[in-house]
Amino acid sequence: MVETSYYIALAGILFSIGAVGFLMRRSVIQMFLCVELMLNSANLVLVAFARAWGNLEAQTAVFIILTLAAAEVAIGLAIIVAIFRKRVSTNVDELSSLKG
Amino acid sequence: MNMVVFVLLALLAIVGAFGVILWKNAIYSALSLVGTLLSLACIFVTLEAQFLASVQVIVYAGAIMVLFLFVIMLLNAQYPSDEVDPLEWVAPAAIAGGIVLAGAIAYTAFLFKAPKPLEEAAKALQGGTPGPVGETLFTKFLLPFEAVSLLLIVAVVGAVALVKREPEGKQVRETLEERATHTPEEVVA
Amino acid sequence: MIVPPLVGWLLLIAFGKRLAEPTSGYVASGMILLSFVMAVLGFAGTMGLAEGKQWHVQLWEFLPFIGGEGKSLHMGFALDQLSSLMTLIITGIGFLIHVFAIGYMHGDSGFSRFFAYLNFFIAFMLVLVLADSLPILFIGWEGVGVASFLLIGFWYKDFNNSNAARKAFIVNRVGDAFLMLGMFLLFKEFGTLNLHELRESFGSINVPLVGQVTKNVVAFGAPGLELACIFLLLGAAGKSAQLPLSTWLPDAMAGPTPVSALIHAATMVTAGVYLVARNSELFAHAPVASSWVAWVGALTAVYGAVSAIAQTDIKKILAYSTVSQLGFMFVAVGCGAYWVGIFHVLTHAFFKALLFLSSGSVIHALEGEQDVRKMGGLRGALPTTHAVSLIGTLAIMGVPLLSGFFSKDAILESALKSPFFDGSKDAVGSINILLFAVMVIVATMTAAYMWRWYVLVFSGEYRGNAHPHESGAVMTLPLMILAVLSVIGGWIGLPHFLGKNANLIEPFLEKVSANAKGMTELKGIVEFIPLICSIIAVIAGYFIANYFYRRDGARIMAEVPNGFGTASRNALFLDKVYDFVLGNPSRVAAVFFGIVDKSGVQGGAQLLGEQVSEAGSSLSFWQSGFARGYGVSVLIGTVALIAFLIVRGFA
Repeated sequence: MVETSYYIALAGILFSIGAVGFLMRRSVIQMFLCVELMLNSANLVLVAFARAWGNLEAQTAVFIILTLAAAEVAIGLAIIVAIFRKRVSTNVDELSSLKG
Repeated sequence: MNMVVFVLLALLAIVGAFGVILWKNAIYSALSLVGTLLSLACIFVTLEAQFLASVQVIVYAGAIMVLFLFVIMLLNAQYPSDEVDPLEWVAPAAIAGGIVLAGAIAYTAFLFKAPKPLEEAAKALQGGTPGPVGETLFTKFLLPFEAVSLLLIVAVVGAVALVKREPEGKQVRETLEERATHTPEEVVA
Repeated sequence: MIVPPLVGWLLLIAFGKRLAEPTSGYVASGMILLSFVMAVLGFAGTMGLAEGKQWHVQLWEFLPFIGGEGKSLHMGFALDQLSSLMTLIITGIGFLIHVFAIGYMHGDSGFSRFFAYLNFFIAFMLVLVLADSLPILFIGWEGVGVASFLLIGFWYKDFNNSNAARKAFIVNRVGDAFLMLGMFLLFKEFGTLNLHELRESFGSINVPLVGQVTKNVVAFGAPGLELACIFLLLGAAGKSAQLPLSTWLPDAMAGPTPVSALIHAATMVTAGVYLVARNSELFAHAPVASSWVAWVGALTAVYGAVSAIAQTDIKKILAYSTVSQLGFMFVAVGCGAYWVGIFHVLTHAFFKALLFLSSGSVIHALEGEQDVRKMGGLRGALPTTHAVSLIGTLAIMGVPLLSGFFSKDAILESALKSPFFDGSKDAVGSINILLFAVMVIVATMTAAYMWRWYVLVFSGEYRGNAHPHESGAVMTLPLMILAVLSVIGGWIGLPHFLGKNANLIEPFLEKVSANAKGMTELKGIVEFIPLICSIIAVIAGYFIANYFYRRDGARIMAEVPNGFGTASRNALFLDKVYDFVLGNPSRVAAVFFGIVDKSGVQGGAQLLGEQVSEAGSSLSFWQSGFARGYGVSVLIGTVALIAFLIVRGFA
C-alpha cells in the first residue's frame, strides 16, 4: 500500500496549484473553479487520514463537505449571474469599488 | 503495483489541475477540472473510500460541473478579457508563493508517522462502502446531517432570490430615507 | 384574570392598524368584561374564605437562595378578600370606562393604540393587586407607571403633554426608589418579601416560617420596621400623589379624559392606599410611621382642597380634588382603619370616575373647551350629563345617604378615634382632636369646591360660544351605571349605630387587615359627633360656594384673583418651589457640564479620532479593492504560518 504521506503531498500540490490559479486568473468563473480544486485537495487529505487512522468519521465529514460544496456552488454561481447582469463582465478586477 | 497506479492517477490529477489554471477558455478549464475530479475519485477507491468515490463522480463531476458549464455558456463568459492586468505584481508573487507552499506542505507531509500499520487501519474501514459510512452518518453525524439539509434549503432559496429579476422601475426594498419619513405614530401603531 | 387584558393588548398592538375603528374598542372592552366576570367569580369565592386564608398560585421561583438557605423569591399570585375587592373595582370601573372611551375617542387617529394601552394598564394593575410578594407587586407598580406615562403623553405631538408625561414618570421614580429601599429593608428584617409570610410574622396563627426567621423578632415599633414603613409610605406617596410628590397628578390631566378617570382617579393612584392596607400588619406595628401616614394624608388633603378652590380648568379642579380625597384615604389607613381606606377607595372610584367621565362628556360636547369660566348653564343642553354630575357632586360632598357620606363619615370617625402620638411611643391623648378638626375643615372645603364646580359648569347662563350637544348612548350609559353605584355604593358600609350587621364591608376586609392598637371606642353621644360634623361641613360648604359663585357670568369672567385665589390657582406654588430648589442647581450644573463636555471630553475624543484616522490612512493603500490583492495577502500569510510551524517543529 502507498504511504499516507504521498497522498498528503499530492493534496498539497493540488492545493497550491488551485491557490496560484485563484490569484492569476481574472475571470470570476475560473477563480471559482480553482476554489473547487482547493476544496477537493482538502477532501483528499481527510480521506487519506481516515485510512491512516482506520476511522470512518473523516469520510463522513467529507460527505458533508460535498453537500456543502453543492450549496456553495449554487449560491456562488447565482452571485456570478447577478453580477454579470449588473456589469456584463466576469472580470474580478472591475469589481474593485470597495476600496479604502 | 500500487505505487504505479498512484503515480499515474496523481499525474493525471496534477495535469488536470494545471489545465484548470492555464487554459484561457473557461470551458476547457472546467473540463480539465472534471478530469482532476475523476482521477481523485479513483484515488479515493485506492484509499478504501468506495462510497465517496461514487459520490464524487455523481455529485461533483456530474452535477456540480454541469452547473458550471451551464453558467459559463449561459453568460457566454468562456472568453478571457484582453484588458491589461492592473495588478502585474500578483502573478509572479502568486507563483512564488505557490511553489513555496507546495514544497512546505510536501515537506511536512513526509514528517507524518503512521499511528498504526496501514493494512490494519484499512481493514477497519470495511472498504468505505455505503453501509458503514451511513451508519456513522446517521448516528454520530446526525446533527450535522440535519444542519446540512437545512443549509441546502437555504442555498436553494438564496439562489432563487439572488437571480430573481425585480420588476422594471419598481424598487422592492425601501431606502433609509424612506423609512425615516414615516411618522412615529405609524411605527407605533 | 390577568390574561384577557394582556391578550387584548397584544392583539391590539399587533393588529391595531388593521382593525376598523370601533372594532378595537369592542375587543378591548370585551377582554375587560371577561376579566370582570372572573373577578366576580373570584370575589364570590373569597366571600367564604376563612380569616388568614388565601388562594395562592405559585408560578415559579427566581433568584433561589438569594439571601442564604431557604430564602428565595417566588413568582406567584394570591387572591384574598382585599385583592378580590380591588380586582372588582379595577375591572368593573375599567370596563365602564372602556365603553365610555369608545364614544369619547371616536375619530382619534390613535384609536387602537389607546385601547391597547388601556388593556396594558388593566393587566398590570391586576398584577399589582394580585401579587403575592412585594417584588411582583413592584412589577405591576412599574407597569402601571409605564401605562400612565404612555397615556398621559397619548397626544404626544403637543409638547406640553409629553412634558406632563415625563414629569409624572420622574416624580414617580422618586417614590419607587423609596419603595425599593423599603423592600430591601423588609427583606433584611424579615428574610422574606412574601406578603402572606410578612403578615404571619406577627400573627398568632402557627405557620412555619422560612429560614431563620422566628416569630415576633421585630418588636412593636422597632426602628427598622418604622423606617421600612416610612419608606413604603414615601413609595406610596409617589404613586398616590401625596405631599411632597403630589405635583404630577394635576399635570397628568393632559391625557384623554377616560385615562384621567381610570388611572388618575379610580385605580392607579389608589395603589398607594392599597400598599398600606396590604401591609397593614406592618403598619399596625409601626405607630410612628402610621401617624406619619395619617399626617401626610391630612396635609395633602388640605393642600388638594386649597388648590382646588380657585382652579379654572374643569379637569384640574377634579384632579386636585382627587389629591385631596387620596389624602382622606391615607388618613384612614394611617389611623389604622384599613377597611375604611379601602371603602373610600371604592366609593371614590365610583363618584370620581363618574365626575371625570361627565366632565369628559362636557368637554366632548363643547369641542375641547376646558375652562369653567366659559361654561355654565349646561343643564339644559346636557340633561343626562347634568343629572349624573349632580349625583356625583353630591356624593363627593358627602350629602347623607349617598356613597361619599358614609365613607367620609367613617374616615372622620377613625380620625377621631385614633391615638395621638407625639413622636414617643406612648399615646398622648386618647382621641385625636387635631386630626379630626383638620379633616372636618377639609370636608367643608371639599363641599365648597365641588359645589363651585357644579355651579360654574351647569347652572347660570352659558358663557362660551360652542354648540353643546348631548353625547351618545355609548357614553351616557356608563355614566348612568356609575351614578347608580355612586348612590348605593356606600350602603355596604353603614355606621355602627344602625345595627350590628349593617356594615358589610368591615367584617369582610377585617379578615385580611390588622387590628390597630390604641383605638378608642366611641360611646354614647360622642359616636354621633363625626356624623354631625360631616353634615355641618356639607351645609357650610354649600353655602360658601353659593355665596361666592352663584352670580352672573360677567363677574365670573372678570374675576380678579386676590392673594388666596392666586395661591390656590398655582397650587400653593409647589411647582415653583421645586423649580427653585431642584431646577436652578441642575441648570447651573448642566451649563457647567456642557462646558466640560465640549472642551474636555469632546476635544479629547476628537483628538484621539484624528490620530487614529491618520494612522489608518497611511495603510489604506493595502485596501485596494482588488480581490486578488487580498488573496495574495492570504497566501503570504499561509506560507508564513507554515514556515513558522516547520521552523518551530510540530510539537
